[in-house]
Amino acid sequence: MASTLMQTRGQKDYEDYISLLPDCLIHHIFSFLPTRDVVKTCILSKRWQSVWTTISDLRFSVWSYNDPFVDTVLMHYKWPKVKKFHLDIKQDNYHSNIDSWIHFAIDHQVEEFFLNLNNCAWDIWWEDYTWSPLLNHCSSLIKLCLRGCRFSSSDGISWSSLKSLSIQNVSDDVLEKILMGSPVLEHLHLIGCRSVKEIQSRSLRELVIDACWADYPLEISTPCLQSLHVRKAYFCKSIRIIEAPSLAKAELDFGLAKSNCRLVKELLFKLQNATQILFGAWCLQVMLPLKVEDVQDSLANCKSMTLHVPIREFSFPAIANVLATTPNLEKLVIKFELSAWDASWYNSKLDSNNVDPKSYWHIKKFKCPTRHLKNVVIFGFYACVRFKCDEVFTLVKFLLGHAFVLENMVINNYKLPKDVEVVDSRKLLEMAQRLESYHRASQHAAVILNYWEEGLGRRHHKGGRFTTKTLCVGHKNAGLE
Amino acid sequence: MSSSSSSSLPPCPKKMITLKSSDGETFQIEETAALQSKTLENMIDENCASTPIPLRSINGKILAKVVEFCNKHAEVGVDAESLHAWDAEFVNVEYTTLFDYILAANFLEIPTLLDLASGVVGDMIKGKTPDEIRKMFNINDAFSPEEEEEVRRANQWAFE
Repeated sequence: MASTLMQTRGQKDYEDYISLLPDCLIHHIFSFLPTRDVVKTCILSKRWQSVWTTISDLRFSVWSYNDPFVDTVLMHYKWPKVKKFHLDIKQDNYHSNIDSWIHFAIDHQVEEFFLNLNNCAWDIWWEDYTWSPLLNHCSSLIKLCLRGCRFSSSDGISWSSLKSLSIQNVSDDVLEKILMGSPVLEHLHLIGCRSVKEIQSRSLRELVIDACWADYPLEISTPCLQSLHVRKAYFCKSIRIIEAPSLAKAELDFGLAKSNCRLVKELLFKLQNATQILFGAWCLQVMLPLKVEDVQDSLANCKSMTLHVPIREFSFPAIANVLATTPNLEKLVIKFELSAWDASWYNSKLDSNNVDPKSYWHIKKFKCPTRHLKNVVIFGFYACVRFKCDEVFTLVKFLLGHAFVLENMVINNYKLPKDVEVVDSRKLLEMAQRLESYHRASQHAAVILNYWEEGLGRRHHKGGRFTTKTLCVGHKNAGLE
Repeated sequence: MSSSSSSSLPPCPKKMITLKSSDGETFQIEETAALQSKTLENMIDENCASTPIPLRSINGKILAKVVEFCNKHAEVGVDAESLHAWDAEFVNVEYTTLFDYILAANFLEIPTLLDLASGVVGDMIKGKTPDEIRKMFNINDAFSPEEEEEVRRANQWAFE
């Protein structure tokens, strides 16, 4: 098929190439478009007049409750099946229509169903629409995404083909039913769920927990889980990984009401096979009271570590602690962030634990935490300097002085906010000279400073008048680019 | 466990396969990168990949780009953000090249590339008037004004 098309194209001199695509590829392009745009292609040319009528992906955004568009398209729909059905509804007096559309999708053995009910003006999720119980037994579903609707029925759930589920605001008992009724579920994304106590699944490979909170320790029992992401969540009593021996990738960025050393050590132990780890600001809170001796080398398989840390001096002892846990680290990314909440939190934490900010870089404490470190990327360095957080230089000095195989240390400019990150050239030169004076354990180490420069009215450039410049320090090719 | 034991083994030599474009150019690609193509994966599974694989529907210029795409997406340790930026640059090409990518990705069954290029074409169409779309893609075979009026009337509901 493809070869004949290409030849035809050669003869036709690049004219009207899009019309030469087979219907299935035009349909694939259509699948990225709202159905409203798709239907309008019927008047492009004779070739296009009926292409849209055989689509199997439907994507609707409904703004006004007297818009007959969805019903008319469904009336014209010819295939016995629907592959994707996306409904984005911005009005709240639609309940009866939503049910009839869901029935249409189920009748057409929908594989991918996406229902988003939100009030566009306020971004408020509806709480009063309860999804049709018919959906509970839809065996054709492979991918399901539900936003802004409730589950109420005491009915069981049977999603025998479901592989991917993204769901908002479900309770612990509903989640239990979902997991029991979805034997092949591989990807689960939970958003804004309260008080989930347990996630137990033998099939789950990827788990994303977004903006959830719980009063209980959340227990995760997932023998096949490969990747765990916890973002902007808040727990009173941490997360307990009961079973996840295959976990390779972990992103843990959550707040904790009470720090419990035993639970943290247990959690680190469960991450021992992970090769890629991200710790949010939370890790600082829980790492501070730990003794380096207790956690040393506990993340021996970790090759890549990312830390999101607040710009405060108190962050640095925790960074030192994290380094001590990862003896085989090859890549370290540190993102310094501005957050008032974090600052007050860690301030009190530091006082209560009496950490001496002078002592934690004592190399004797670590065997050699930076032996394999090849790449370091630091974001927010300039903001640290601006806030006179001089400790960041101590950190850089420590890394340069002890990483024997270091190749690159990149000091990156943050996308936002630029006004905090912009440095004048005098200050930049001072920084560069200071960095150049530090001893380097690796001869090949280059320090690369990417920085914002206020340009002269380059308005067409995204981000306005700022352009990124690079300064390389202490390398063969050192100099301004 | 398994990852730590395998990483301590000496690295085995990389298995390469050879692809031959419609204009006779040959390209070497690592088997691990080639596996992103279901078509090539099947050929590898059936032991048909030991000799150069002729791809009569893809010319050398496009095949070079496809190999580049597969190599990039097979790289280990690339973070999502930088891959996204790389992809955006990759499809920052003339629209005719986008269609070549779509056809090549369809033939070789590389879903990531097919979605990437189709998504860009979709974005080009989104929100445009039929006239703008015709102009943008040189769509010929247009209706006569009377015919167009007729089609428009028959599908009036779609244009309200």
